[in-house]
Amino acid sequence: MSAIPTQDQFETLEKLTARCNALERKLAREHKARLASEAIAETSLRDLYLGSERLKLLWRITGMANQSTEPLETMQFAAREICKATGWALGTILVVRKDQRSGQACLYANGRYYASQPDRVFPFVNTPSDMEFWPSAALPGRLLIHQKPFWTASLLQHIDSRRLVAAQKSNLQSGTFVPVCINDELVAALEFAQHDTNEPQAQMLEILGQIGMQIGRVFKRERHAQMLIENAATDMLTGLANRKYLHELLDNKYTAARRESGQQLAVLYIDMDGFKMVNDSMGHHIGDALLVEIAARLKKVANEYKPLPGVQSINIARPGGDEFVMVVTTNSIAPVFEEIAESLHQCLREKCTIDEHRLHLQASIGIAILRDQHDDGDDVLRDADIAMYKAKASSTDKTAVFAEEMRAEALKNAELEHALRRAIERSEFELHYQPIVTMEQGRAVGFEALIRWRREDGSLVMPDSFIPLAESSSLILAIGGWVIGEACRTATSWRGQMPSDQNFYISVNVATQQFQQPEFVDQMRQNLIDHDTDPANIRLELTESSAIFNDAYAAETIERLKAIGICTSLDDFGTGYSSLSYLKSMRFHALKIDRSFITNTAKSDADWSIVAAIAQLGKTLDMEIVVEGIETESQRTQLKKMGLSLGQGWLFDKAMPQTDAFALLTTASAV
Amino acid sequence: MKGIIFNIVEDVVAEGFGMHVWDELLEATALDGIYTSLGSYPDQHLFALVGAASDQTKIAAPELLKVIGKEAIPHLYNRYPHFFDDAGSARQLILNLNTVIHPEVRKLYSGAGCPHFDFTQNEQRLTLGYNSPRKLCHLAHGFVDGVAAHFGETIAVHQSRCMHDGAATCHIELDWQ
Repeated sequence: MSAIPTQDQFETLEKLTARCNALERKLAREHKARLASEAIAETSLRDLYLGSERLKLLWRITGMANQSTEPLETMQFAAREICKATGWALGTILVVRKDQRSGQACLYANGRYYASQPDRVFPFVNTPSDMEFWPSAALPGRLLIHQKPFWTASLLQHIDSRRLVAAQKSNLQSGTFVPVCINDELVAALEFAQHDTNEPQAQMLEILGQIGMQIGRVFKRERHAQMLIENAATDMLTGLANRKYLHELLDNKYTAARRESGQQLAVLYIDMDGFKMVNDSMGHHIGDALLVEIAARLKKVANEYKPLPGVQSINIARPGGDEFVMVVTTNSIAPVFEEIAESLHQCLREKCTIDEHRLHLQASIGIAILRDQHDDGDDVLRDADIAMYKAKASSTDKTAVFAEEMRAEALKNAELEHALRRAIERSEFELHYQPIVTMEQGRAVGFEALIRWRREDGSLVMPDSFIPLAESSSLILAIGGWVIGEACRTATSWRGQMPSDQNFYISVNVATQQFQQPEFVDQMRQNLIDHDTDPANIRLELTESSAIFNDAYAAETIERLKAIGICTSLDDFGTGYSSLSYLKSMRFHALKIDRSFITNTAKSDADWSIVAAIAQLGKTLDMEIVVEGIETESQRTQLKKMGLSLGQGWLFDKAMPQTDAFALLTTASAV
Repeated sequence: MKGIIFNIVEDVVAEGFGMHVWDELLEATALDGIYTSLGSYPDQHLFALVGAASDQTKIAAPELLKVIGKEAIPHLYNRYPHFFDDAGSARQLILNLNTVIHPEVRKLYSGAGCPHFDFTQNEQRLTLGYNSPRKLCHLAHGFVDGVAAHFGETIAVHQSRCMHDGAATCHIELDWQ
């Protein structure tokens, strides 16, 4: 047998070898394919794992954020969890704070951070913790401009220069910055640093963005909680400190003023005259809007004074109703407090328009300055309140600085108010009548009804002694109502005893509060009906402040009174606002020139000029002019020359009891 | 045991002794030899294959494991070069086991039973405390040899304590020359 393979055997061997080679190549390909598929699977598995780890990270932080009320604690937790999940070396907490003056936001490190190995990053975390970072291209200030998480491979190139050396010493290479926002407002940020430059995946940055939002929720909750606390200390309507907070504030200011020698503390008690009328006659929504306006004006004045040298602090509170309190501290005994009060008066006096109502405000301000006798802040407040009542009772000076005697006066007033209430119950009042006469003959054409208080002991109290108090306590409504009823009764009584062709009128003073009652015209009509009074025999005297407080309302009320036959006079003309514009819009029947002009003519000729001007004005506007306070024959002569025909004053007669007045009236008719 | 270890052992055997030797080992152990890096397989498979290889090569199992470990490194480098490149040195790579490499393994295979090494460093010496029910300290020794070769370093490896000798923990001391 030959050992040499046959041709067929050779061919078979070649084929087998070729096949074998083909199989080996195929095996190699399969092996590579297996490795490739394993690599693909591994990559996917890794991504899946990382994705789930990131979600777990997000869940952990969300879980913390759901429970936490402490934003900084939550941030610290997040910094730790993120560092642990990513292997990053350091997570620093940055908080936004706003510059008091400019309102510009900056980031600052508050000393909180997480580091897996604190010693390795010590130079970096040891940089001053109160360092501020303003919006800039440098890190982390860039977050104040673009609120998106980002990673930088070159931390050292972009970091704020003040921290560069520390970052180098800590071998920090790259960093990730995560904004924490409430809606679009940056409130804080997390700053991470790495020792390497391994770039986080895009998904990680997305997750970090969501983590920032979750932490933002904690900030939002804290802010809401803070708002609740503030609201508890704040008057919801005006945003000013409320009564509760005012006492706290006063305590603090009192303690500070006692501790620091040379510091002065003053309380300004500000009460808005006639505010109740706004609420009553125009509704609470107008009243509320007015309070907001007042608060804004007070703040404006406070802001004007705050920067002045010597002024340390000015706080404003609204303890309730229409009362406001300004607490001022200064470091010198400067007479700034009364100056502030004057500025407040000026600012409040400016007309304001609310819902087409033009309102004219006036305040009474009481000032109390800290003295040795005060035991606490509330003592100062109480004195300011007393001074405020003093200011309110004064028709001219609307600011009063507390003086010791006011305390006794306040006590006296409290007693007086008590007695006045009893007097109303017992009808201890009577009307006296001062004739309004023709200059020429001195014949009475009417009377001004003036109230007197006949006390139990028989003494007669003049209105100056109790009307201001009544006006400040709203007792004036009851007293004024009685006066109108009594005048109507008298008018009817006189009318019945007189020839029907003889005219007369009884002029009744109406207080501002009384006039501003929405039902005032109805009350008048009812009085006329109840007493069967001819409206021609009743006149009403309004003061300028009644007219000007809400001029549209006043004009309308005057028209409604006219419609039921009652004429109105404008009393004390020339002393108050003396605005000519309202004389045109309000159709007063008569103008009464204030007595002070006549009294002053003895000293100055200028007053004659004013009287002449008013007389001319009356003629132009076709109004009757009555001159008050005529005391001398020469005054009468002068006034007659000016063509003024009606007057009242001691030259003619003082106020007299009803029977005397009636006698005078009937005598006059007989002349 | 992760499939990757079986794959690496297969590569080492095929390269050093030929593809047929791996077939013979599978035949001798009656294992089907289907190992993918994605899967996990009984530890017993590895021990059986090493036992069979020892029988065939007349090399004691501990020695064989050292060889396998050393020769495995180039194959591991082929598959996972970044672990080596990022570490930059044998010492750092070894120190990265707990903090980088095994965490990465766990990212791929949740529940992978990776051993934990207790490192003690003083001056030149790095001591690896190894404690695993698999008792593969010799494989670890081999890996160290391979890593040293990869980075061109010389490391004297000495095992002062061994679980195979009844110790609770293996102590593998590495001294850089």
